[in-house]
Amino acid sequence: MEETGGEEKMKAGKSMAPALIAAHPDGSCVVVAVGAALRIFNLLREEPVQVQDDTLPAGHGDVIRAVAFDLHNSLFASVGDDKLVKLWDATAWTCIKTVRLSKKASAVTFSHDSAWLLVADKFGIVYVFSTVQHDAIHKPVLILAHCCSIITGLCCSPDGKYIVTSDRDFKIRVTKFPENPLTGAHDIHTYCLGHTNFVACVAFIGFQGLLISGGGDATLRLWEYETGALLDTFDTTDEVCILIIQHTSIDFFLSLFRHAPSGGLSVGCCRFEGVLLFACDMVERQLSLLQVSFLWSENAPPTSLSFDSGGNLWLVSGAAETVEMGDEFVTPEALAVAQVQAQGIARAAVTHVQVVRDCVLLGGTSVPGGELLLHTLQGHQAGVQDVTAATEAAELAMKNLLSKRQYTAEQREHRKRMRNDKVVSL
Amino acid sequence: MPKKRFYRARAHSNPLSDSQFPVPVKPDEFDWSEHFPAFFPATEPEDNAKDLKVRFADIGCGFGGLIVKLALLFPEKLMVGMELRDKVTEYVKERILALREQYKGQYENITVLRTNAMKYLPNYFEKGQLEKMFFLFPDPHFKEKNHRRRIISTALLAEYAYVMAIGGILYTITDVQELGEWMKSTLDSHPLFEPLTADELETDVCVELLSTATEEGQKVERNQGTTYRAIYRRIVAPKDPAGA
Repeated sequence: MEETGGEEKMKAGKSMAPALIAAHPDGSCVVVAVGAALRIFNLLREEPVQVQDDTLPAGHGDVIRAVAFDLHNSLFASVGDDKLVKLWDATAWTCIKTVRLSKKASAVTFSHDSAWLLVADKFGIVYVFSTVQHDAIHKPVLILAHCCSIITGLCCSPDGKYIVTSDRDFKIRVTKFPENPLTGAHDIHTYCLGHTNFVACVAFIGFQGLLISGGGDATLRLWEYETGALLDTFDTTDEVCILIIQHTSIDFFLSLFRHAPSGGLSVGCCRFEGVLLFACDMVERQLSLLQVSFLWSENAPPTSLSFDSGGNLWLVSGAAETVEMGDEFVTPEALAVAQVQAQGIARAAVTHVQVVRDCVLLGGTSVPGGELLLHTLQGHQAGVQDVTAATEAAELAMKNLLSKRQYTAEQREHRKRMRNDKVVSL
Repeated sequence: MPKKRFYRARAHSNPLSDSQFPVPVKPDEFDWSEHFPAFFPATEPEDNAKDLKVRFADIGCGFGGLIVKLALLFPEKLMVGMELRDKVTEYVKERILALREQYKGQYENITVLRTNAMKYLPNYFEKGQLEKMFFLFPDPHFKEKNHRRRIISTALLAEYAYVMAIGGILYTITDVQELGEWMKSTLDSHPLFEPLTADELETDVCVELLSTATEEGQKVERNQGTTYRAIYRRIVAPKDPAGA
């Protein structure tokens, strides 16, 4: 169908995507992904790093949605709304491989032995690539799928036995990691059911069969993934908790966390200007709230966090606009234009980076890498207001994406009429 | 007995649209006693021997033709029909109530649920719970870009295998040749399912019901169409490291 007129065209929505931060497991560098760009700072040499991308297309053409480091082989992966998966050498920072998916990606992870890269898209499909055979098949191989549900969390168990995926339909699925991932993961081991709203994130903790998840129901849950049993639930809307946190927003939900090497856990929450630090007691199998750290800039909640091997907790707040092209027919020229636009947005985007160590917020110069790091990762000097506004817009976008929408019957009819079934091909 | 003409609905309902109906968080939080009042609560001693878990599921049960026939063939087995369309589910509910009223003591073992089976099977059933699953005349989704909505697909078979017991049987039938071939090849290439032998097909009482028990089946017969059946058993994953 040709383009329909005026504002009735499917909105080429300009939504904001949150900035992401990741620290290399060997402590050599920190990466901030904002918009379509990667900003990298080498902590050992105390200098910024420029990536080198000789693959086609070079660089991301739209916002990066998820990043991951692997544990053993110094690899880094970035996936985004441009439907590209990029595998990077995290020492030389060159792009090893670029693969195109058919849908936008929402999550990425490496298998525990670093041999496989798994990417999840917004329609619930998880693809697998080999990280070792660089010139092997470039066509993504489907390994498993949740039925038409955005996959929010994706990780592989430390014992190499399972892949865990969480989705927007409140489910966490534990699938057996297949001997040959390229033939698919067909054997579902168990489900961890209990969340009453979308599951926002999952992570393994320790090596004793424990899994933690956080969700839109504002709870943090501890599971035994072999049996799917729910061991403990920490409800952050609990009365006791509210006293500590003093949040009043009903939009409060756990959006992300990272497992610290020392065994603690940290949780960043939507609309909350701080970080919750939890401890997980491995013996008693319980969660407890250790500490609430409030951040300096009172109005910019972190959008991503990452522990590094030295025990620092890196936080970033910020967001960048997406370059949504809506449902129009996509041509290579349009893509190129979008790419330039995306890179421009990314260059101009401002983030706010903070570091917490031992529950204490580090000041400007005591941050590892100092002022130069902050300058590299944050971008131009700008007021906190810009970052705050951007971050809030990003969180709203995320919430809209993950929560079930309520439409009136009228709106539903209108949407049915406006639907565009054209296939996009390149 | 309810009249179908008051419950007519379109044949198609979009399985991808967001659900507006309640879904249990997990299987043991779902109260089956409302659906099978004659089986719950078990007060007499011999009731302890009763199997109180649903064992058969008809996915996309439509107007309930199949489960009504199965109810009498397997009176001890609890079975459920799952249907996405609201009006049709209401019809089946009324039909079951009318049958229970008319034939006292019978049809107590069947019920219907309004739900999206593609998304929520693990919410209703535990691992290895179902002994039979039925997919009668599923929506063909002809366009290639809609193939991912087909109810038999490699990815969804993993979920069906999860809720089915080892040795459980999965029945499919369609009158669309391309879909029949698709379902057969999808099941063939899935490591957790193997086809039934010709002998087994002969002795299984459910096989004949596939083409005759439902409205859709009777319509196909009237029009003298051909049907394509694919009936498979859930097996343990083969240990072969070379893959499926």
